[in-house]
Amino acid sequence: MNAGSKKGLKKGIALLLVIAMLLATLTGCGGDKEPAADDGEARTDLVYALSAEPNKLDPMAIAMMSTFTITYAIYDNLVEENENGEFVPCLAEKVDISDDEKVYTFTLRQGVKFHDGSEMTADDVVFSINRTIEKGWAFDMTAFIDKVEKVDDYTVEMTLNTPFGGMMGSLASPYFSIMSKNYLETNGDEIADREPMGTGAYKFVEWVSGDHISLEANEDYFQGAPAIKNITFKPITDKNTGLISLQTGEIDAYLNVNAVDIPTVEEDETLAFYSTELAAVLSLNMNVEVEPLDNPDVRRAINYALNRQSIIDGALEGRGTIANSSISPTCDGYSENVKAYEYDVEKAKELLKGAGYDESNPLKLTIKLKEDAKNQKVAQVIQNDLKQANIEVEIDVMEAGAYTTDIYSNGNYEMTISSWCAMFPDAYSLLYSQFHKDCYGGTGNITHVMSDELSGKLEEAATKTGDEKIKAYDEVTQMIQDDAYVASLVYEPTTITTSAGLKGVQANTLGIYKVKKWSW
Amino acid sequence: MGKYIAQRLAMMVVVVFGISFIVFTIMNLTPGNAAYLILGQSASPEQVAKLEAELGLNDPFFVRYFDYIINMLQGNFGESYNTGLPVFQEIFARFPATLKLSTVAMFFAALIGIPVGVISAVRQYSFTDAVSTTMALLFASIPSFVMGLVLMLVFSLHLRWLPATGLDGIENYILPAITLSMATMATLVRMTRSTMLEVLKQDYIRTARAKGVDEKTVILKHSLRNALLPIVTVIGVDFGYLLGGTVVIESVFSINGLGTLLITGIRMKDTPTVMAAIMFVTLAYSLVNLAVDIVYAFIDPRIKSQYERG
Amino acid sequence: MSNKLLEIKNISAEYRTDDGVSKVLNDVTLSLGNGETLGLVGETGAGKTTTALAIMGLLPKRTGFITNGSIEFAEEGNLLEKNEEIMKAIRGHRISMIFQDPMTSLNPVIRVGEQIKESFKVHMPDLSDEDMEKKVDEILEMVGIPAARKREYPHQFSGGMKQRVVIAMALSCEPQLLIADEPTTALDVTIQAQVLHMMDNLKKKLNTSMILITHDLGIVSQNCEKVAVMYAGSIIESGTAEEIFLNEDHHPYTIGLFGSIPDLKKQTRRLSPIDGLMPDPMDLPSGCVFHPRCPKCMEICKNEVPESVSMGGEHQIKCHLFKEVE
Repeated sequence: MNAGSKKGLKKGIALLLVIAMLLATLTGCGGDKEPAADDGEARTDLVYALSAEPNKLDPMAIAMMSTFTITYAIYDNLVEENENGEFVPCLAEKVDISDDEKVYTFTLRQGVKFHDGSEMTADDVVFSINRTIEKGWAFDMTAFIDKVEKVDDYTVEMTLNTPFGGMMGSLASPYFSIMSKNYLETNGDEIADREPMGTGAYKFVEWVSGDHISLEANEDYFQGAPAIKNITFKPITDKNTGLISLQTGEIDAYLNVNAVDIPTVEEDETLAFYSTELAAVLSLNMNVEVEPLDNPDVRRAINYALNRQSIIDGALEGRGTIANSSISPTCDGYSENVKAYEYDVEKAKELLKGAGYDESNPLKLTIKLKEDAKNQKVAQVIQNDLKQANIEVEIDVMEAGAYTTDIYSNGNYEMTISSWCAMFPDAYSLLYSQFHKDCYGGTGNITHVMSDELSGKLEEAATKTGDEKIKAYDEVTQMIQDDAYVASLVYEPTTITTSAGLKGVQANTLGIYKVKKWSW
Repeated sequence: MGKYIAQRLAMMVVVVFGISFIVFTIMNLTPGNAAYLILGQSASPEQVAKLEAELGLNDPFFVRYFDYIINMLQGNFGESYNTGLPVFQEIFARFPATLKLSTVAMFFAALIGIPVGVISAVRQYSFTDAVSTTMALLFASIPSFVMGLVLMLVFSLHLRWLPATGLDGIENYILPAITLSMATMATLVRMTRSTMLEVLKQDYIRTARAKGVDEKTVILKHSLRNALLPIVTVIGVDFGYLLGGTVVIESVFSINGLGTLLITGIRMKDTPTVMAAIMFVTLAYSLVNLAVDIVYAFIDPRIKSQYERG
Repeated sequence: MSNKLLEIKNISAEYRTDDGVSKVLNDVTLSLGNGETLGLVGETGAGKTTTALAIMGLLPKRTGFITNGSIEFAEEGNLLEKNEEIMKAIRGHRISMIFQDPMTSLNPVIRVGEQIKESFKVHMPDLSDEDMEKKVDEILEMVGIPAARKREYPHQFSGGMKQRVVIAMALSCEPQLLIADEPTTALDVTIQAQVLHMMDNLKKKLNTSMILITHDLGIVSQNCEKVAVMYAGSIIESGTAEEIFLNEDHHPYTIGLFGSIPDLKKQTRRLSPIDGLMPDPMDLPSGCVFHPRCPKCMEICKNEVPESVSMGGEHQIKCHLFKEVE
């Protein structure tokens, strides 16, 4: 054998050897892991991983749902939600509602202390509610409030300008956290961003930017000291890392692991998996001001052409339920009376033909998206579905800043995919910003629906409660459905994966977790 | 030599200023409104307008740029639009981690890369040579997040030897540093190998052998020092690159580093953060380059003469 | 037999590579006595440097093989049988070599004094550091370089000075044999004379034998007692300088090489080129390697390799034209 082929042979053997080594390493790590040793004593600490770092901790100015877990630990509300989804007293011992449903009188619990030792009184409540109104984030809730006044140190009166069926839910939402007037006035309003202080089960300890936020138990908590004494919130942006960290026990809780990993998690004895309905509706939004989407038949055709089950199976790993309306089942005002569009490609084609589109002249539309893996998959399934009805869809993935400018500021788009989340468990929360004419454009009505009738009906429905409320919202949603202002797709669940020993893990209707109820 | 260094430092200042202008311009020309991005999609136009006014986003371009420069010269790099914290503080909180990680990574890359390269060159065409160059190529080709996750799977999950996330103790640095070192290590193996092969062909190596010098001394004393120049260059360039922070590794290992700060800043159109971070990286990179050039002078006396001649 | 310092007998060597086998030395026989200088002349590619490397044991390890013959050196015996340890001790100490291009022969990042000192460190490790430094100074002075310059780097020296340093390095341990491969080819004509003169003085002082590889017949005529002419890896003619320059009979190649044989006292003669090229060592001609270019080629030359014929005294010619002379 001469020197040349000998050299080649050596390289070949070397390559095989290296590949063999790598394969051996990889197959070796299938991860059959022994459960962590039980050392008898229950743990009192918790490491909770967030998928992104919050930018501020002011509950009245937060854009990220997962941050609310932190604010709920630090702050309390006048009323809160219990395990059955009912609203029960919290900081307010009693809530009296006038007959015309316009005046709410709160009798405050006495002797509740803020973390700095001062007592919570009516001044704080009035201050907090006014701050909520002023910050403007909860405009759909606060628009109903006319004024809020102190009656005496432990009594507050809030007057609405019209009855509002979602008021209790609003009061329980993080936007109505009760803050200390003294604390914010002495230290400046911005202190709420970085060093929050409330009456809640946990005290804020520190926030090391980019690294962690730590809380410790409030031993004097009026509902009793919580079981877990120390909580550390850490950001872990990569979902694969999140899963591994759960498995190694480095973290104890992580939201929304990758859908493909759910079977692994379910099989792992050291982990527990919980799935809850999220008050969120995955929708294909259409800009009804641009041609040809301004033609209701076209919009209806799109609705008929969508195979919603295939979206669940193809893009969401089978997790979720078909949405029958723009309201999610966890919201008050939801009913099953409004029906989803049936999957009917022929009907779609018929409607399109009426509008002048067919095989020779296919309808061409663009879906603009942010960089989100899940939404991109959904878009691809939709693209495929619509193709059957001779609708050609192009998918345009954009950078966040550009996306916001196009969709919200300029309304320069045809279709997009969004998940609409309720901020409080009421139909109004999902519908107001999306469909009311006052919210045109940047505020949320990216659909650009400017119907006076719809807006009027919506306002009316807001004032109702009970069966009347359901009827009223049925009318609203039926209208939305008939005119096909949107294509509601799927009710998405939220999931959390925790270490197996953790007890009491349950989300409220909005999909937010209250760690004060957890224990080992 | 001192004059040479002084000249280089002066040039660095010019470069940093130039970069600041370019970055500022780019941040202004790209779409997206910082106020909007911070407040989120459901903010009302009034809220957006209010924040814009607060952040001074409505002033004309040059006014804002000069305001920025004047503040910067006084040491005030402004506050992040996103978090409201002083930018300087944000950067300095993260830089030590990035610095430590980069240093460990480089050290590791050199520790393994250079000797392997030398051995490959000395045993050219042998089996050892074939294995090491193949491995170098393979490791350089594997994307860093795959490498990072695989290492995590093996060492954190399966073997439980090392932690997966964070930077609390020295064990935490090992996996990310190894992952980071891979690309440079591979380059170093190949660079060292090829330079050594070049050097070993040189006449002065033949002279050394003709003097009866033993092979080990020929390789280490006579050859390696001559081969060092390109090797030092690679280390310098890659080190500078790593100092900019590598977002992928930071994301995989959940490390609070400069890369993530920068990318988040860009996404959120947080101009003060982006400006300061990029200028900082530019400065660090320039300093590393200068250090490399100075090291050259100590390795190769011919270069030192060149600097002294000015 | 042996007041001979060096006896090379029937050395054949080849380079084996992916492209084929290159026969670079074919049955080379040479000898050298104490204090003698042998001039080894021939065109580029004849095998002169290879011969030198073979003596030093510096043929490339992976590709160079000596297939036949022996190299007897002083009392050491056959160098080809010695292990690497012994050869390292000999190199730079008993046998030194200097190479053609002084510009690249010195390590650019090591001080000149250090490079000379290294020879002492390797071959005379028992000397104290101080003594070594003293010796370095001495040898530098001997080659005409001020000792103070020993802390400088090679790039700070001119070509001629560099070559002096190289020579200093080679002679530092007072070798018995110095092989100088075209030591002045890369230098200016004016410097050449200086360097050769210096080498000659040193040679006399230290009683060093020398193999001087060169193109230049003038140098040969002035410095060498013996001459050997090499072609395509073989010594085709050898003898004393007088025999080579003054005798009537020569190998046709030699004649071509010299043009017309000059006077011993005349100055430099240039080599006149001969038609054709030196053959490819991978594909040598059959019979006498010179036959394709030989103006006097006969039938027998194409088939039979000529034996070395003694022409009287030490004069040997490898050519079918000549018969043994009594």
